[in-house]
Amino acid sequence: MTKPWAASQERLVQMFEVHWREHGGELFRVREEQSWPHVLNQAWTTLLGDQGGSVVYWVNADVAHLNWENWLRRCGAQAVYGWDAADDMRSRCAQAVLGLTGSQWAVAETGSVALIADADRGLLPSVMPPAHIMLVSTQHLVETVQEGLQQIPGSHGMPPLIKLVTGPSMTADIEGTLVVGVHGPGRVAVILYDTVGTLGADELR
Amino acid sequence: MAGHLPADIRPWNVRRDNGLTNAIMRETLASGTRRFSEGKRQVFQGYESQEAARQAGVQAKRRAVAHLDELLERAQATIQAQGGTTHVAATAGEARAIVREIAQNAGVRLVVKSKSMLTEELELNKELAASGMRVIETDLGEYIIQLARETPSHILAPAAHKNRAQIRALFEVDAQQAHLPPPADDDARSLTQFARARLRQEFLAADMGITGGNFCVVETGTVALITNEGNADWVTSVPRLLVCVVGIEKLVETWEDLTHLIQQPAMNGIGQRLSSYTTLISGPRSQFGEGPEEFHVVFVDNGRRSLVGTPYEDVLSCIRCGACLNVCPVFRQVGGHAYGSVYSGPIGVVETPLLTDFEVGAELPSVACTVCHACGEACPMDIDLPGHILRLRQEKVRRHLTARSANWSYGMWSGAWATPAGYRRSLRLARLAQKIYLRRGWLRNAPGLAHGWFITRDMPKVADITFHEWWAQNRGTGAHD
Repeated sequence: MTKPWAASQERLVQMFEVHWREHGGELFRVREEQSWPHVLNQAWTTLLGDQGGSVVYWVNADVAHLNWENWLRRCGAQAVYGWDAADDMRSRCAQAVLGLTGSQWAVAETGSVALIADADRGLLPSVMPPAHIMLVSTQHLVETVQEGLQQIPGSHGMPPLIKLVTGPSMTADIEGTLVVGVHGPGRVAVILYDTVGTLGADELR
Repeated sequence: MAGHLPADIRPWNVRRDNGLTNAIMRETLASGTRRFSEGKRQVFQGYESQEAARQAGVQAKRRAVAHLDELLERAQATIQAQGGTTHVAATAGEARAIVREIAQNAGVRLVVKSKSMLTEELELNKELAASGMRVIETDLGEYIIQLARETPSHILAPAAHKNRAQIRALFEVDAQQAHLPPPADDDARSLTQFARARLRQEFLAADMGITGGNFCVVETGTVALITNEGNADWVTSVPRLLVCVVGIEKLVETWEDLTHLIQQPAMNGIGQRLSSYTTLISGPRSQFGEGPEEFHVVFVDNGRRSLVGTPYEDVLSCIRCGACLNVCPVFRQVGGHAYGSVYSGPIGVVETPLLTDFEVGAELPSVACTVCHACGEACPMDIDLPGHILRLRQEKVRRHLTARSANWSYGMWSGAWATPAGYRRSLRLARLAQKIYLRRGWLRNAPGLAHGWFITRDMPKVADITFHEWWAQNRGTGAHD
């Protein structure tokens, strides 16, 4: 039995997938916690092949207890830096081969992911490295841009920096030819995950 | 008060012919504008909700223009409360001075910019360079034309008039100066990769970022920036100082207004549901390590307020999507440079003379429009572009800005055709006069102003007997029997 809530959420997942892929974004799905390392590895291989290098990351609170550093190293990361406000974070981001970030919410009908900067989450990992993986909770999928933006400003006032990512960095400035990866990442992936405990065991299977 | 815009003072026919003979530009523009227009058509199909959003967006922009002064006050208060600094510039000169002083006070040496038509309008780069600063455009197209020391030929595709070989040559010189390996090849990908590496140097070294603003939300003090390249994200996040230069017409009152408008530039301009990057900045960084330490918003009037309360007020709703350029048969042929102004295409034809009180681009409404009305149909903000172009033509006659020969010719014409007798007389005259220009039964030329019309066209001769004459002779008397 699928609950009505889960059915409508599944519809948003499908809608998001269509539009996110339309821009050339990669999409992966984690339905249970055990599959994280495998899916992360798939995402890494798809974006970076067998390339190694350093990674800068932060994740949302609901998956913060997981063993990110270890998993990333097994994917091929030679160094893994958790985001903090340290001054050398900028050069770490500039050297990284991959930025891995969480997200605030994502929009199904445009295939967009919202990132909001605060003390524990920076946006530089989404700008500087040549590849970017975003973790999006299926719980945080909304249908329209309007629904998403209506969640801001929150009770703490206006966040100074908000970004909606809708596909890779791209340009058609040279003879109208589309090229990805101008200033931001040319390769982007979203890992959609279901949060255990919110969904019943039924939906996870 | 009228504003000032930079002008290419060469006469229209020189600028036009330069455009018409630039094969590279015409090819790129032809395919680009077609792709954009087709993309727009497709993206609205099966996405009805955005038609409602568009209409709500139009209302939001109209409301904002009607309350501009009040909104400007409130926007400043909000931004200041969030730790930003605001400035208001009435003229282009004031705006330049404000930005220069911000930079000088902070000891800035290197400025990185994301694309902004307003800063082109202000010729801000020149001002900062004159004060000893280096200013780098970071939008790829803008960077290319900066290296070539040229101006944009399309709002969205500024370097549409350059081909790969020309761009490679520019990059090779640049690579040498920056001690970087030159582009590996002349394909778009290699050239883009070179620009990525090259501009990265500048991003990381810059002290100050300058952006425009697609929208500025009064209620939340937010400047919204839309790019596909991601350069605005570097500009807003990396340098310690950020200056957003925003036209006062970019204000919208509420966050909800923004939610209606935010997809419109990409939907209408390039046929995407949303651009790759939408960046919303509402203040300097607080306690944590990202975003600028100092955040300035410079609101610029430069002739905009003079449109409020006039029939041209809706021009201030423009969201610079480029949809009117993409459908304009004149723009598609001559390209942006022919307009001699920062603003080209139908919106440029209207806005250039209006913002400058006819000081710049006074010829445009007469010469750069076929009155086909495609722009009026394409404009997502329902700006009455074709109507304005006609209104401007009337205004030019009132101000005696049209050529005397044209006034005389049209005066004669309208006088002759104002009465049935005059009309008949003119036809009899034409039937006699045409004999000089008739070749094989067709009219191939005409005297005076009409000569130009015949350069590319022939016309059937005036009939030996017109329908009116035939009717009077054959049926006229018996028709009511």
